Amino acid sequence: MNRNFFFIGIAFFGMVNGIFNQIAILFALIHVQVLAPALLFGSTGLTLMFSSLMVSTATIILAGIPAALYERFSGATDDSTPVSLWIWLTGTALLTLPAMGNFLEYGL
Amino acid sequence: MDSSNPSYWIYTLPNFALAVVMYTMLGRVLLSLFVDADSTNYIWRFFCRLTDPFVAVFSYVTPKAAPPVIVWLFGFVWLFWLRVGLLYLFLMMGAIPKTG
Repeated sequence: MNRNFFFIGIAFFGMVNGIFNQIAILFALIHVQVLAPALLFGSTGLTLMFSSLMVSTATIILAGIPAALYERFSGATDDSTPVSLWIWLTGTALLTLPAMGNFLEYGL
Repeated sequence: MDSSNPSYWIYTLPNFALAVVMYTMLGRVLLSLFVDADSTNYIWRFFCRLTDPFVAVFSYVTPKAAPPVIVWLFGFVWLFWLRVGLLYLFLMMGAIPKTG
């Protein structure tokens, strides 16, 4: 499979989790207001979007950990392998499962 | 919060240090739009020197397909969630000073 499809899939799942995982967004929203208030000029809308971005990126980062560890132990030196990209994609899909109900109900 | 209380500083200092690295990481991403990776600009070199140890750790748990600028952005998010973790650690230990 073309590598770009992996990246599109990983970004898609991350985006879905960042928009539709209400509990994670609420958790992030509270902490963004506490830890990074000045960054967003006190704007509620910006804070909400930033929280969504934090959840999306955290999803992708967490799913990337097993993929990266696989690369280290399999001896991949220069670039990711198709197996590690599959691990990354599957990880993001699994982490997005709690948000899938809302995504399928409301859609984009 | 009473800044004369030692427990205030026990939480605030590491949180402040992580915040400095977090914002410097974001600054590195933004500055990379304008300067080359091997630039001798002193601000760029300072940003690199401060964030490189963290980038090395975060790149260990980031797949190699991610280019450096993505690792820096991931580093920003890592540091944000580390600050959340630090907040909860101190909350569990009861080391966060009460307000008011």
